[in-house]
Amino acid sequence: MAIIELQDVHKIYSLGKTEVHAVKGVSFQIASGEFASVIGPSGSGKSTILNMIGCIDQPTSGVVRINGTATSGMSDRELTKLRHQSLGFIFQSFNLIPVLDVYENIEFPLLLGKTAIPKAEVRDWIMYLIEQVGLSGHIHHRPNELSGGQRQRVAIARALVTRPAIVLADEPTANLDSKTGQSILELMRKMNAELNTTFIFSTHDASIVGITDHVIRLLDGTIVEERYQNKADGAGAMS
Amino acid sequence: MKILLRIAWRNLRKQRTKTLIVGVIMVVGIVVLVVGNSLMDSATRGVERSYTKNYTGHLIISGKHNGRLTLFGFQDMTAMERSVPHIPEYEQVLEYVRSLPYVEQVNPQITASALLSIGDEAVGATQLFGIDPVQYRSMFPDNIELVAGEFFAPGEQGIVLSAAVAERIERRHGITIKPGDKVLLTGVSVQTGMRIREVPVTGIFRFVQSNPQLDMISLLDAANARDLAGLVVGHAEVAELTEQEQAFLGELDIDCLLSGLDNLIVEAESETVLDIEDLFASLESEPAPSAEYKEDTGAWHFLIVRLTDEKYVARAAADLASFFAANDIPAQTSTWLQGAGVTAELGYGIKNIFNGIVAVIAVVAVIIIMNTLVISVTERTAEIGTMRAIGAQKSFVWKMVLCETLLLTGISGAVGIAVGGAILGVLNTVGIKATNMFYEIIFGGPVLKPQLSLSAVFTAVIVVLVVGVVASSYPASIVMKMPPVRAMQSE
Repeated sequence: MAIIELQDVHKIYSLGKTEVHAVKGVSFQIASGEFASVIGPSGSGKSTILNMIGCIDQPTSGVVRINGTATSGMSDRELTKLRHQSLGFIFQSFNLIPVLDVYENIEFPLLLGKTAIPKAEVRDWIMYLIEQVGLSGHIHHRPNELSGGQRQRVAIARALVTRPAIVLADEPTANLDSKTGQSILELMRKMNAELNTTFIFSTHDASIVGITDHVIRLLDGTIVEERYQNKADGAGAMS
Repeated sequence: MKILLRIAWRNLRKQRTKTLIVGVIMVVGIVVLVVGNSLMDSATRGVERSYTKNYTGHLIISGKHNGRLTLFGFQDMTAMERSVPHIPEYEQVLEYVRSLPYVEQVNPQITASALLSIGDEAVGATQLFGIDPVQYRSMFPDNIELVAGEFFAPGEQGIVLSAAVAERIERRHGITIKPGDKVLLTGVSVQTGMRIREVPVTGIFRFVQSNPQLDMISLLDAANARDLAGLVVGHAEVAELTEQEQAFLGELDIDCLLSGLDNLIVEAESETVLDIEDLFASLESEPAPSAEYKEDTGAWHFLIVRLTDEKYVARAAADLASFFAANDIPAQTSTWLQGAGVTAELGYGIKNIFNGIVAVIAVVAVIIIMNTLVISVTERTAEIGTMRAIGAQKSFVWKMVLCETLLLTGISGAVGIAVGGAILGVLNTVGIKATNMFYEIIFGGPVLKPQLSLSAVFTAVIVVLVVGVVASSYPASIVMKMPPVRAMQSE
């Protein structure tokens, strides 16, 4: 069963009197545990599609389903709950909370939930993530005391802290040098393998495209190519 | 909650300049509020203490009436058209009031006003309190300073003239009034029309704590006061006539009196020939019948009641209302403030004006704080958008903004209350002297020693909370209306 399903999705933005048709009837499915990428040039609709999957934006028409449930009929409260429980975000510009340090930024999504997790367990899990993203020496540093790569690592740890089923990464390496970008991709691949987290990247970085299993290429808001790669038997391809 | 406080506190520290601006506005506002309200509370307490101790007691019983009745008479547009009602069933009321365990003392009083004349010369007006001298002085012992002469004795005719009135007469008419002089009092009442009484001045006095309205008061014996006020005195005594008076009346009987003047002339025969001039001469030489002092149970306008403690005011008013209703007595009670007249109300009026000013200051403060917060919150729109994107409900964002505002206003409020308390402490030690009569009225005495008022602190806390909630609601609502994706893109 597809964890994500888009069915004839359109998105039209109004810019004053002008209407911009950013996404034009896009349909695709992504299976659980996939390492997928949505690629295309700037303005092709990649980020818009990720935002709609992430429930921070709504389609003008069409259906977006997460775990089989259409998001269009959900209230703001339900959408927020869905984002908190099932989705993790890695933004291009990191979007960390400036007044919180590394540990607190990663811990923040856990504090938004109502599930009581033992403090020691929370601490161990956060420390594990910090170690995994290689920031053990920067636990109490605030975002303005970190480099771009370090901030992106914090964003990755924050996206994973609630153990979401899906992580959406919008141009995660755009602001990073190639070495840092590579190590971050390796980290996400590791998380994908260890936690079976579904990753969807929006990118035009060829190195990301090269390591993903499922590639969706967009041009002017429509899918021009969809392919599965890296797995010889095409495992993960939706029928 | 911990995370909210953490974020709020760090944001306040991060935006030091804005925090400082809002904080200073809040501190100044709260200081004004605390000091101003405490001053007003101290002053109104002073006025209340002064009035209840010296003039009005805690409650005033009067005949049933409509309109604004004070101890000085009606103080509204109908004052000239009607007279002050007397207390019906006075003795029954008095007996009941005295039986109440929380009643400390009572004093009956009449109000009247009169034109003063000395010889043929009208010298001005005075307001009169018709009193029983013993009961009045017993109830208000500390507030009367005799400048000259003495009080009239119970049952004796006399006026203790206001020193301010005497000084005014001397200044304007060059007439110095001394004890022993006689003055003519001309009163007009609805029932009896014009009444003129000649009364000896037994003394001149001033109230220790006074104001322009009270300066006009002279104290008059109750009988003359009733006469001037047009009160029908419910007073029946058997007249003991001298031989000459009986001789003058001769064989006159009641039938004769009622049968007309002609019959009177025909039937009024006397064996003794009486010279009318001799009669008046003998009347003047006769000493006035000395009346033993006894409680005057005639008509009174007011019964001033002092309670053992002001906490009994509501209970006393309720008990009296029940008593009047049960016994079908058309009487009512008023508070000290209702009875005290316009000058006492002035302090309360000024307090209301001050509260109005404070409300304006609060509104201005809210607008300034709200503007600053709007800037502060909109600068963080992207951050709030991120929070929403990663799972923060709208309520979390609202709580976060509220927490930040309340933390700021709370700290500012606490500092404001502390500074206000310190200022009041200094003022209490030094004392604020009333430099003129106006301030003396407002202060309720010559020196105001303000104290930190709990109600002022309570008001300040409420204002802090309201300002915090109102000022944070608007910026929070702006951000929350925005979809997370747009909020994040606003950076």
